[in-house]
Amino acid sequence: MNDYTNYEVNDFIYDDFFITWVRERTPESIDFWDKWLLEHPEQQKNIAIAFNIVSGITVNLPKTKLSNEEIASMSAEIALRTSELQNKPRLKIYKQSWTKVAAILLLFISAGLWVYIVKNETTTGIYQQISIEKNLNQAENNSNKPKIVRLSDGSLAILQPGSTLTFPNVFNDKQRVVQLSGEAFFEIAHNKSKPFLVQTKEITTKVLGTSFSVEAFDDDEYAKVSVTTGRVSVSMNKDINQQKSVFLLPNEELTFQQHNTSFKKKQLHSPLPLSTPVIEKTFSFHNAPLAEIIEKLEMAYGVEIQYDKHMYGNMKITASLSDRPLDEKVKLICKAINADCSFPDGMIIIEKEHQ
Amino acid sequence: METSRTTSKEMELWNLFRNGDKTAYAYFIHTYSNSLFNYGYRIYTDHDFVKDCVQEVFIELWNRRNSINGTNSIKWYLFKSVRLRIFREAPKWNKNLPLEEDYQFAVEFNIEHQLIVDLETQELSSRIKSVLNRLPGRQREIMYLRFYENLNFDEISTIMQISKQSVHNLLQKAYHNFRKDWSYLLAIYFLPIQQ
Repeated sequence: MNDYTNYEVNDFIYDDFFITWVRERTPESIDFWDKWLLEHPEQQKNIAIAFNIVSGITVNLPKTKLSNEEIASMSAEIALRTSELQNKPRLKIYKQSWTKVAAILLLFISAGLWVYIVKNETTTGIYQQISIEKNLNQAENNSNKPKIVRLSDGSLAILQPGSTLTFPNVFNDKQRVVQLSGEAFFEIAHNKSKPFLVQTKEITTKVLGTSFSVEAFDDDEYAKVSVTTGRVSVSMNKDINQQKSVFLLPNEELTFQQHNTSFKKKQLHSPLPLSTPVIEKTFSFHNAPLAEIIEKLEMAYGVEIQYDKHMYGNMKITASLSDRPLDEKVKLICKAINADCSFPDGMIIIEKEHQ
Repeated sequence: METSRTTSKEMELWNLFRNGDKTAYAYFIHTYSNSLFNYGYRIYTDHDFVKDCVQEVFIELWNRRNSINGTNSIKWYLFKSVRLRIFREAPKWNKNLPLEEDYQFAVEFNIEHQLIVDLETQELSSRIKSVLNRLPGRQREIMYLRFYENLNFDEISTIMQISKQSVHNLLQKAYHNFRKDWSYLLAIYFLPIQQ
């Protein structure tokens, strides 16, 4: 124990055991100080002052805390990562992670059903297979605008009107499987050990990570896959266990014909709007007004972003947004202009920061 | 106010947690998320980044639950992990906003008396308050952990990964600042008497 006989008020204030006595009132500190005070009446005044001061010290914090929603979503993410992957290393959804994604892949799939298929026909094997998984979510877009769906692994889907996406709350250990009827654009978080599969009625498209778009309406006679960047493999569902898959490279388009169950591959003439060279050129901004950036995003992704044009439209931004998925792009923009962004019910809204 | 020493209830939950109990795990997440976030945010003022750090620390905690020694306080263990992670990850997160050695620890101290105190104590209080609020970052951090989180100097030195001696040295510096002000204060006190 320190020799407190020559302590002044300010010495007591920085003394750990004194602070413990004043603030925490532990039994041993009370024992000690009560006794010590009796033995050293000459220090009573100093101690009384120091006691008053130490007991009065408070800490004012600026208003910063995690909201209940944030804690909830954090807990969900933790639950997901501690149940599913346990000790396996995993891609962190940091800003940088997206830049490290080596193969950015953009895929556009459009697939369809026969017009003359009876509505209530029994489901196919794959449809049954996915429905076995528990905790399935279904996002349905009955509006006339594209809708954003965020998946548990950080991937993102932009669901077009009239489309339905079925996906598990938590992907299983081996692969990430979603099921689509209609059209959607995906940006998939890179994860080599867990391939991402988009299943439509007739074909399955497999990617190892990144972004792509799928269209598969139940009343078209063809399926279409076009790749913007990266590489995918497409196979017919009836061949899923055989090795008959077709590989697609950027700017290649694959058409699946229902009537003769065949694939046809062709080269596209102009690069797709979200292919690497295009996006690198389009999404590098130097002192560009926000309105222009938003417009480009809306064009490229075919979505609508709600924001206050008067308030933010003329704000200038310098940024390179080429290697991020759409929701990350929007978040970065918000950070730059000190605004909040949210994705309620599949919309994108940028608004004034909540305090 | 909770104390830094792990209560028997927490000790029980801690043992449950180490045996893989998810309810105990959830308890720690809910109890400490905000204090960890608040602490981290003083060091590096980036909401998303600090949130991410807190999350990763909890995941790491789970993954290492079998290898963590029977610690007497889960609290300082969490604080230490968050601090370490912030310093390690911040340079990767934003190269334009490096975490300086002399980071600001953004917090304001106040001294509020519940009882009516004499003039002398009032004067001293306001003086001490202004000294506390002019301390450099690391010393503010020590005082924050001591007075806001009720961690003792032993725990604080573990969290900040400095020796207990360094905690004292840092406070000694604060004390020197204090001394200067103190003599000034005494001068004011004695001035009317001398006249």
